[in-house]
Amino acid sequence: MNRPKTPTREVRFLIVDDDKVSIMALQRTLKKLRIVNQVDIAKDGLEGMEILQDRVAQHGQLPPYIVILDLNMPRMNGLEFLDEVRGDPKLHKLIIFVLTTSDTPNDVAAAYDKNVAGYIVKDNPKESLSDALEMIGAYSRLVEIP
Amino acid sequence: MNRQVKPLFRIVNRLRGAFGFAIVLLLIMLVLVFVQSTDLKDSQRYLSENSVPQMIQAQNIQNSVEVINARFRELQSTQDQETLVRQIDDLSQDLVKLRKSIYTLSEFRRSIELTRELGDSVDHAIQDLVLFQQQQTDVFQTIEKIDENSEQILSLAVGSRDLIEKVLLEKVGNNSDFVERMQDESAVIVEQEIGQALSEAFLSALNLAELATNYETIAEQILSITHTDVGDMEDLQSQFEALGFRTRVLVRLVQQLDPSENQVNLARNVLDIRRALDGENGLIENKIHLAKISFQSDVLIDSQFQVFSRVSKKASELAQTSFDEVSAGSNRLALDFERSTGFVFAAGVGSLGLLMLTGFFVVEKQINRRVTALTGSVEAIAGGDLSFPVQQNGRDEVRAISDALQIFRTNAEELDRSNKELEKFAYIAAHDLRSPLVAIRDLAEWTVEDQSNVLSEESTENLALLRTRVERLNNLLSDLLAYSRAGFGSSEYSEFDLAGYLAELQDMLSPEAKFKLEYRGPSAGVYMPQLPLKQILLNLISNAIKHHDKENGFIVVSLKVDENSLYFKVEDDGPGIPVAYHDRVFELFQTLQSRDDVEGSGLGLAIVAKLVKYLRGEISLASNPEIQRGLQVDFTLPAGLGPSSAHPTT
Repeated sequence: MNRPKTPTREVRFLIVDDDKVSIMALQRTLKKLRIVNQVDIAKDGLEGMEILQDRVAQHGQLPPYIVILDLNMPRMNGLEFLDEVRGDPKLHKLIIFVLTTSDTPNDVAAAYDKNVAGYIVKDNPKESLSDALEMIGAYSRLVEIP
Repeated sequence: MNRQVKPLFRIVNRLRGAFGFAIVLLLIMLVLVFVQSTDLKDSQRYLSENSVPQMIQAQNIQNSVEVINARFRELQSTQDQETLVRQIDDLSQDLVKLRKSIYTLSEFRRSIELTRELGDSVDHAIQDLVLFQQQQTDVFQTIEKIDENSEQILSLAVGSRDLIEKVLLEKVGNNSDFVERMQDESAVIVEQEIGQALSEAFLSALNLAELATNYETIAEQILSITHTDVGDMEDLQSQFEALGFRTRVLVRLVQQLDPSENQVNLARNVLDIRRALDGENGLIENKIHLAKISFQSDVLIDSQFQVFSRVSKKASELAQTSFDEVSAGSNRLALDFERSTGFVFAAGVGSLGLLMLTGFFVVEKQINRRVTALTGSVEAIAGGDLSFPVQQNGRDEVRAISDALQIFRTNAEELDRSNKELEKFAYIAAHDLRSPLVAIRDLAEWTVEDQSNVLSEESTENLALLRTRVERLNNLLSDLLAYSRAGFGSSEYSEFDLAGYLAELQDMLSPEAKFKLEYRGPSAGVYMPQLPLKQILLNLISNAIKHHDKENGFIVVSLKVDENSLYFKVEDDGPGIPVAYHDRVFELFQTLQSRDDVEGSGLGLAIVAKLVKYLRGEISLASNPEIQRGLQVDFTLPAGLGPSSAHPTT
């Protein structure tokens, strides 16, 4: 349900994932759910950091973002990205959802250790991805994003 | 890898050696002590049965001898006949008692000479005492006789007075005749006659007076004699002489008297006196006899007294000898005892020292420390710390165990490594294999979605098949992962709400309740391995639903509990499994129907079997579709510690 939002700041999504097909799936699903927020793509943690830091440089502070983060990526993986973000005073308040295939308890624990907003396992049924993104969409509309 | 060291010098043997040695030492000590103790007992018995009683007896003898000595002394001074008799009696009793004591002593067969001398002396004393008694009786009798004698003589003397009077009277009578004649004028009295008559009268008067005087004197002298102590023989002798003289005078005087009846009587009187004095059993005789006897008995007593002084000395000697023997005996006893104690002490100290040494060196250093270290290592390694060090020293059983532990640890490390590798592999499989799969599936789907207009039917179907195969691959991957991980999760036992879980499964697997899931068993309080059990039940029940050939069905899960085991049963009313395949179904990748008809990786039951085995339980099937529909899977798991044992139920 689209409610008119205070027009000042619109939430952006940042998808950090190295799998092209996975990104395509996310984009298609978002489109299906008619979630039209602006989406930035990063293929690994390093690129993700660059994008965020660029934005900070542009606007003086970070605009509202929700990050959808995969864990297994080259150069800088999800957990390392989390470390970087949480260590950066300008970025540490970011809302981050982990969306990954890994269901190992170690990964879950490590992610929550770094205060992710939620950890979602990419299950086989396609519905879960749709549900997850629907939830994130609702989240972006309902919740005050820093 | 360490080669196993042959236990050449077993710890047990070291201990056996040490203990054996200590035992031998103690045995030797026991033997020695036993031997010593027999000696001790003998010594002690000899003391108590011989030396000490002997000494006591000797001392008794000594005391008796003192008493007897005292009595002898008393005897010497006693004059009173009654007292004397009593004393002699007492003394003879004492002597007899003493003789008995000496005899008892002689039975000990020590100091035989002394004892015999003593015995002889006492016998002697007893005999002498008898003699003494006789003598004393004699004495007293003689004294009586003397008294009688003196009484007799005195009475005779008194009697004589009468007679003298009578004679006097006679004389006077005669003279009166003469006086009458003189008065008779007619009578012619010759001067001669007068003169004769006067001198007669005068003489008579003189004689009579002398007679009377003599009688008195005699009487006095007799009394004196009677009371003279027989000790003074000279005195007595002179008295006897005087008395003899007097009596002779008496006789002469009486002879000089005119013969008459009275004179005859007087003469007889005098004779009687003389007899009473000089004659047999007369005063003098008796007195002399008394003197003799008294002397004899005094001598006897004296000698006896001296003898008994020697006896007393001998008795003292005997007592001393006995005492010395007792001392010697008790010294010997003390020595023996010391020696015994010495043995015991030495053996005790030796054993103690040996045991302490053993305790320290063998038990403490060789066994305890090493075993403790080994136990620590075993526990640490069993608990998972594979890097814990293992001591390897010595050449005994402990070393053998350490070596084995080292091997075991190495194996465990390898196992750990391969487990870690497997986990890594599983992780890789989960991620790196899955992502492309998902991509393939999605791309196929999108192609269908986006280009459904352009695609031919065949292409669409191909793509659909593509998707199912991908799906299958994905499921296989999941199951493979599950299989590889089976048993690596926690098998901790906790209170598990089985009914609740089954309700969840009902919702998850058959939400419209096409298949009814029922539970029979204890509702609470049973300890079960929750995590693996959830997996097992999930697999079994989803199998039951998946393979059911009808739209609706029943699945019953039941649980029985006893002290040792948890008995699970999962029954369904599906088609069952033919007997021929009962073994195969538990193998990897075995399905009973083609994967096109029933999607299944063939791993479900394999996972169940692996889990059950991992939990150290047993599993079996019961099904025979030829006879009846349905499948029953029974599996048993060991019971957990906890209240489950308190709830044996159907």
